[in-house]
Amino acid sequence: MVRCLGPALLLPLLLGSVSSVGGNRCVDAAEACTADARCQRLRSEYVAQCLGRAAQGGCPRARCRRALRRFFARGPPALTHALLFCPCAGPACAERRRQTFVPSCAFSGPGPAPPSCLEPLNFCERSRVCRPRLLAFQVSCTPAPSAPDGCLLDQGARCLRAYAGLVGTAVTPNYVDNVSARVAPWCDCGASGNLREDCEAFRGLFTRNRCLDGAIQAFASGWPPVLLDQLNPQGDPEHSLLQVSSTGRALERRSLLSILPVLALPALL
Amino acid sequence: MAIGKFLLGSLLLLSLQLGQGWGPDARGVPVADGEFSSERVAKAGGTWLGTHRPLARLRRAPSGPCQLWSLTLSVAELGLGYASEEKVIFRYCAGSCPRGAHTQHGLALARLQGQGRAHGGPCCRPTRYTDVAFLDDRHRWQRLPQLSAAACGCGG
Repeated sequence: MVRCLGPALLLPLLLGSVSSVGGNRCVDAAEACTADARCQRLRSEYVAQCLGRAAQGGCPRARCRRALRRFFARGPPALTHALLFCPCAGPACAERRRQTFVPSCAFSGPGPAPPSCLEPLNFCERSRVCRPRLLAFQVSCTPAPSAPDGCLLDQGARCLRAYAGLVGTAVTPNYVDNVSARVAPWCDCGASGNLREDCEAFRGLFTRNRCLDGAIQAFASGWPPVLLDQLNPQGDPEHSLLQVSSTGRALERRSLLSILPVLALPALL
Repeated sequence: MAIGKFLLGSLLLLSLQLGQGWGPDARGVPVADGEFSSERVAKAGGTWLGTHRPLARLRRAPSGPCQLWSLTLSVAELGLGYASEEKVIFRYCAGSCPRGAHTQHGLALARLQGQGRAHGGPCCRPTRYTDVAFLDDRHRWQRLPQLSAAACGCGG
């Protein structure tokens, strides 16, 4: 009788260590980040910056975005990506995912209406920080219809890393609502005049990108071993950025706008 | 029969120790980092798990030197009126302080207390704090500055 009771008593004790069984994946990701000293410190730092007040009202956008870039660059990739790409089944989880990097400061604004996409794109092209990251994103997330996961060179993970590298730049993308996993930068193509095609092509990098969608899906199906994969850093975003910028120098002469239609063609076909 | 019960009891204790990452700890676990813990842990000759006893909720005073302890709480358990699904790590300082404090005030006070001319004794308190941030139930970010202890010291 003692032998029967033993395992029956042990099992609930061991299961009790799982915090949310079948619950909110984004909450699990937040707790995993809290449990790691470095992730927790960097997360508290960006929340502190992004909740601050700027001198002329509103939030200190530049400092907020810089703290976000530091979070994704220096935090353990498994944990930071888990916070950004946690899979969601319901609106509560999806809303949490949408709010994860304090979008009211880092994503939207300064005005109430989104600007034309040409504006952040031009700014990014001229920015020492943003330009290489956007190039890395374009290269890593090139859709390839023939490839099984939708990405060229089978680089779903690298695509996600490049996407995370855009958070905190002028072209910061975010989830558009709390019912889907669609992402977009905070801009539209309403007032783009004769550059409307270029504008749509740029937005299409986020809204019509099979490689990016596939990579986010693949991350969801690789959960939760992803949270434990801290011992296998396949290079951090800074390292992969250095790799791309050496090829990016060859493309320096051409502007980003001329590259976009070429890269967007496979996506539009 | 008694041996069977003893084995079952020790298996239960072992599983409590193993599952104590998010388990129902009463006072928390000592933290391996920090100014005090590492030397004390080295002297004790065990891992940081070794100093914690699973049935500790029955004890009143913390044994051992002044060190940083860590508790994992739900936000509601902080008792500050916030509601969130997230759990946060709350660190605090507890432990006994040796009579020899590190400041002139502490030294003088320790002597007077030894003579019975002053009340109390040096107390274990935080010397540094950290912020805690979480997303609440209404998906608004909340930040609690300087909520959790980061390092401990014996104060006067």
